[in-house]
Amino acid sequence: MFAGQASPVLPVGRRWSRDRLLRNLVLGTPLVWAVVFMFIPYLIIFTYSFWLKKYPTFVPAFQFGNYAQLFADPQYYQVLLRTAKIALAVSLSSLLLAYPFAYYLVFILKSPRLRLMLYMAVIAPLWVSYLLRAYIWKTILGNEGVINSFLVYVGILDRPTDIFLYNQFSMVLTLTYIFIPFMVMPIYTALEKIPRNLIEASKDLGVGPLGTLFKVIVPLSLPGIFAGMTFAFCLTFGDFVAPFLVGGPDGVMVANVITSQYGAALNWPLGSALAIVMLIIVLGIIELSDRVERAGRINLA
Amino acid sequence: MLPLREGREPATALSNSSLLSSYQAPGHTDMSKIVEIDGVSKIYGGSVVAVDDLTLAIKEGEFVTLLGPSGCGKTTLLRMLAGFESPDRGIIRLAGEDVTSRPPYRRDVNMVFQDYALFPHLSVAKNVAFGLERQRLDRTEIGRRVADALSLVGLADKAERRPHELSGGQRQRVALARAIVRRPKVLLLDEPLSALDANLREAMQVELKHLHEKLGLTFVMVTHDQTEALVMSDRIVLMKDGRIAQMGEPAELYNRPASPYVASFIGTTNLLPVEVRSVADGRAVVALGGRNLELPAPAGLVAGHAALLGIRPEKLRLETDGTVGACQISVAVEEGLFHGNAVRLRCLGEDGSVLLVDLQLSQSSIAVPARGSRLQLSCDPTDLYLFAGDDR
Repeated sequence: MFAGQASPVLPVGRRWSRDRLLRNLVLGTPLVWAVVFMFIPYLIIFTYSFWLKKYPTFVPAFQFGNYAQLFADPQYYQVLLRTAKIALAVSLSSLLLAYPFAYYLVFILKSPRLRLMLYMAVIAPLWVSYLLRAYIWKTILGNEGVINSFLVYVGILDRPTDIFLYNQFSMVLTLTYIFIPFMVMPIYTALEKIPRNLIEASKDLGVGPLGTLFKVIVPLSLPGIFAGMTFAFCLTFGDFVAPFLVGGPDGVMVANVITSQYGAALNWPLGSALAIVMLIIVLGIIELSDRVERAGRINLA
Repeated sequence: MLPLREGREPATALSNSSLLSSYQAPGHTDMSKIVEIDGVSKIYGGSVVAVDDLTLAIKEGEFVTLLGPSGCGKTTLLRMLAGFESPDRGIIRLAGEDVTSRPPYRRDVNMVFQDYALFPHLSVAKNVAFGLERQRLDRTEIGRRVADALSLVGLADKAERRPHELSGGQRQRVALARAIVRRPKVLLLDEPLSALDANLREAMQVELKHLHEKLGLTFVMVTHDQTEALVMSDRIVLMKDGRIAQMGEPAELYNRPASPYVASFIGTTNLLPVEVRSVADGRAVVALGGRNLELPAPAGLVAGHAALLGIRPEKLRLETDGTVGACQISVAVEEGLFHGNAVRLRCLGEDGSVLLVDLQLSQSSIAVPARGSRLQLSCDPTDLYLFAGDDR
């Protein structure tokens, strides 16, 4: 648009077309990337989801049998519900941990250096391999793990227990640990943006620290809370490593089912249908959180 | 602009309790002192003295302005009254009660913040009601008080707006309504008009002054604008380096400045170095323009030493008819700045000192003197003040 407006004052069209070429290159490269590596694969999966399973493989078709199967067979919709439940548990537990932490960093800690150090302590694990971070919990919660060894050592337990590992609890714990940086970051940013004099004004008007937290600070940090909840929920919803490493028989999530449909079961059409349903759920949640965030958006300037 | 329909409120439950508490306070004798600041110091980072052993009493219903340049400690003092900062030494009493270590939410004072600090997520009405919801009032009472406060500041029709939908002046009024709706013992104003443009600022000065008269509340305002202080206050506390340089009524500070600092901060003052010839019986003789002048001597003046002589630019007159005044100065005009109703001349004295002279142009007989022309100025000895030190 800019180049188009500027063209009359430029001598010839050559410069104009070079500008446009450059601009198209800058804008186009990521677009091409997204189309080739994201939209086309999704499109392929989308077409697969209508194909027909025919032993030993599957054949092109256009029918809704795979989707019908997902909603008819409790095995599939229950795994969707369970995944949603775990995702909700992970986002709530990381909110409950992250909010007080971010609050402490922003409002209570006086030293900027210590604040940065503690903030980085939460963010730094993002640079460690995801697999490693999930695996760590195996060594903490497992039969021979740190907790069990300690409990046996101090005599609380006679022999190691397996209640810590391979269940939904261990999954929520591990996923909370893995995704908590995505909760801390937006909440920290939201809290930092709150002008200090609003907190002073609240106290000046006779409202104590707790009232100020719930009447001023929490409402003004809602965008950060929504962003963090969306991150944690959607990332958990699509996770398949934690269930694989620390989840038990009751910890199977949607992504694991998809993996098995593409693998051992060799039912790509059903796996694709499940992937598409999952995609729709996640996009729906992102859209919902975006709307809520926009409705409550507040001009802090 | 403010529809000031409401007169001074009759004694409410709130003011009764404040009366009661001042009775009960031990050692509190003067009922009319609503704020007592007693030997208060505030030191930042162990070395920066913001407020230095300051003592000040404020009478009930008074409009006191803390005036001074940035860094003089006026804002720190105000924040200590509000409870946002705690003094390192000294005691702050509010209506006779020691509130030195009380948090802001347990003090019966309210503040109008410099940039208003309105809650962006709440409507105007909710902003004003914010502080009332903690007081045990029923909903209709809260609604009535909010409506009263909003109509007092002329914003009754903006109750459901959000702060960002209002103009700067309107936000200022919301901040004011929010602060007075709780009927505090003292209203604190932190540079309340600094964010407004010049015209609006002048109008709001008058409105705030009227509001103060109507409400009968004690106002403590912080400003660095001397005009604002002169226009609005009953009493000005001029501060310097965490201490009080001088306090008194605006006219007193203007007409009888205690130091060159006061004289040059409030209004414009020519400060001329003079030599003290003699000091005796509270009178001093100084040399000015080759003539001896006898003036009241301030404390600490020593004969033979240099002193400063202050005179306001508007107190200097042109000697036109050749009559010889009590004191005379001859100068050369360097520059004339036209101000509409007056002209300010920048002149050079015979000793090279700069002298500002304001000539009123109301009489058409006075022509603006040309650059380079020599003038004979005269003034009344009562308009001159002598300073012992060079404390600017």
